[in-house]
Amino acid sequence: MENDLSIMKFKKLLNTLISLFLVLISNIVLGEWSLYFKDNTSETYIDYSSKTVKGDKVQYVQYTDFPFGVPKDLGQGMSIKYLSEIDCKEETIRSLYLVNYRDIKLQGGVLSNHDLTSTSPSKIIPNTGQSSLMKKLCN
Amino acid sequence: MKKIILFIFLIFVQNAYGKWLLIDDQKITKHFVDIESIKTNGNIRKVWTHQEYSEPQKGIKSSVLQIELDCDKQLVHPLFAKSYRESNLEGNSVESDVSNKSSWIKISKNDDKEFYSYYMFSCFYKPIKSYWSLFSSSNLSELYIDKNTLIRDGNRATIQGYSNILDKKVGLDGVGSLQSLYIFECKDETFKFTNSFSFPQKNLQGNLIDYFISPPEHTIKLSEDNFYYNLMKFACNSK
Repeated sequence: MENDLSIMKFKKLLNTLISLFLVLISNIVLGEWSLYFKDNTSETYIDYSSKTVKGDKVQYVQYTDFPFGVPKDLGQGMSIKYLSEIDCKEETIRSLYLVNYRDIKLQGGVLSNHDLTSTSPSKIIPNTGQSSLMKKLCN
Repeated sequence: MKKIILFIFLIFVQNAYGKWLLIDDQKITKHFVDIESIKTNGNIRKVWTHQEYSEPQKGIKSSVLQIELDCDKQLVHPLFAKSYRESNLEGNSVESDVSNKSSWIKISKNDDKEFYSYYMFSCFYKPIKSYWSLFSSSNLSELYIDKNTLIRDGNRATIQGYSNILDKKVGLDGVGSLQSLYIFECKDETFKFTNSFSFPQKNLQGNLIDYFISPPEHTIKLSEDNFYYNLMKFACNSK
């Protein structure tokens, strides 16, 4: 029982640390953000220097700005930063952690953060932005 | 939270970059494959395919399907499917992992036209096993065949082969070699070809220039001076 509690506390602490890490890493001023995708409602940037390789998997940090505001059903905030993971062998992608910011360009303070590690990876479809990102990060 | 997760994947997925190759244009469905996605493991080839429907199928206008093909046994095994409400893989989508629900299925040319198209393209594009041998040559071209692919079916004989184009007089500008399935009607002494891949260099080298699966409507009556006459004799006289 005590062990379970310790493990739960440890996991909570770990999540907090990872979220904190995500908030701090690739600071908007110091990070090397490259515009990766743009449409009428959003702009997504990737920090390629954040790439870390773990076996067949690659983790990286990216953020999305919503110059006209986050769509209503996606909650509040103007930008989102997330730590994502691509499995180069299985050709799947998932996001691990996500942080919502009040303003664009990750400014205005953190509104909320979310642990997404329990979500299932999604298949990467060929000839999409995800597949070209996979080629870039996995090669 | 669910919506947020969905959104993350929607950000990038929706813009297709158009490297899908049209391999078969049927009445309602256009079939595409992604050549770069083809992966070989023994006799098995894994490939991503894409479908565009001119008439919505239960509200679906386009879809992707990842399949495995057993090129030796002519079997297919669907792995993953995703359907879209709009054309060009856009709009709301529904995905399904079909790998556990389906087993290997025998591909029939008449009953499974879409799988047959994918099989013909994916298994014969730079074949896993090929035993090409020079059959004949002239100043204009060289003809290589794979004798292991010869099939006799009644009056019909089929065989895989390719030609190296040696002279521009042949009339295929920019084509260095052309791989096809040759079909001979032995009784009528006619010839047509299908499942054709053209490449810029000799011996099927370089990136694919063009592909077609549908046979030309016309057949060629072979005379003794025709380049393919001796191949017909060889194919039709084999048991």
